[in-house]
Amino acid sequence: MNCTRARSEIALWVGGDVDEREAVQLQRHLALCPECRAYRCRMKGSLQMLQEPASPTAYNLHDSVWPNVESRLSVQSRVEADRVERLNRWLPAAAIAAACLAVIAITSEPQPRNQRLDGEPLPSDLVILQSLQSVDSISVDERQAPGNGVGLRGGGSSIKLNTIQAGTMGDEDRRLTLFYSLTGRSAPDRRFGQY
Amino acid sequence: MQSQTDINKPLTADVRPGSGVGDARLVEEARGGDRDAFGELVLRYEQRLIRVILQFVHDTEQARDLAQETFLRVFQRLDQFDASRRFGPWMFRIGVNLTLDYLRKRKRRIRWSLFSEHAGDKLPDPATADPRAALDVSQEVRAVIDQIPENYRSVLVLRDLEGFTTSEIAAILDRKEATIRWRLAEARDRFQALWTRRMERTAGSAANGKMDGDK
Ligand SMILES: [Zn+2]
Repeated sequence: MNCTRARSEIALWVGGDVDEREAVQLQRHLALCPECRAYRCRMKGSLQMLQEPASPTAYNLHDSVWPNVESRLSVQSRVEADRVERLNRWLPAAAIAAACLAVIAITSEPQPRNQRLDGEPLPSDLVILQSLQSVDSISVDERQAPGNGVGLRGGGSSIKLNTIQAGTMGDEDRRLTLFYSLTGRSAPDRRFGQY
Repeated sequence: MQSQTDINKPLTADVRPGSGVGDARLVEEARGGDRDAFGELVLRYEQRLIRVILQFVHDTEQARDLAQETFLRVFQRLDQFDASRRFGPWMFRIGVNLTLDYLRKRKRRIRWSLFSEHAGDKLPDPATADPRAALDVSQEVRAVIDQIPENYRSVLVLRDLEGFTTSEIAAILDRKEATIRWRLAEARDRFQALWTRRMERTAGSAANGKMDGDK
């Protein structure tokens, strides 16, 4: 065992972190090496100092953190439940009227007719609505067929057209109805184009 | 809660006296949405966790906040917990990582606000203070530990101040035990060198102070 190796063994040995076999080898080296013996002495002293204040800094817990943790867990799950409920109830207008630029032009691909048209949002609608977050204007491009040129504008990023194209959105009238109810606006008179 | 901090408490509180329910069972129940089961885990581990965090942040309120944050995160990640492993090390790993992240952010913040340094952000440095003032050994030790790089410091704190075994530390820090042992030896060596130097300096300045006083 050389001195370098012996020193790291000493550093472990002072804290009781070497096994029997290593300890024996170390003792053999120490018997022959005064420098390492001096090192062992310094190491013992410093470790003692290190471990000394462990008890005075001991922390006595009077109040458990559990009540706080529990109430924060409750808030979290309430927020989560509210979010789901809001989506289920078509997100009230207030929740989606803040920022985020969302320009959505709904294209006129023929949509499968096997969807509910009763106004209930479909899962794909929810994805879009979540990303919409906020809408502060709706425009209708008159050059498009009714319902196909609906645009929603906000203040942030834009939403790709294919988000909508890829979806299983129902027919455009249902979508329009959905948007109007979400934004709290009344269904426009198409002739005005912008509102 | 009959709770007194016990430094020698094993890392895994497998069975709480009187409750008879193991961690694994409680984790399973908490995963199923049982809040009380999770509360039981919090009560089992909070003292030890706060003590460990305190070794890094030295501020009781901050340590409590970090412990709360840890438990929230643990709860959120219960799904990711590998049930074949022990809960204790996994939980401490989240807590220690959170604490080290907090320290890194704080360090960055302090660096950014060098001109408006708050006295409260740093522990007093007794070696540069009046050597004739009474020396608080634990503050001295603290100041020396704080000079050791984080990789070594965390191992040193967990082993020598908190009494975790090297295999437990390996689990907490997600490293091989050989790495932990190597870092531990290195950390103790660095502490020893810094400590010796500091004592020599303190002794030197105390001697100078005495001579000044004699004049
Ligand atoms: Zn030697």
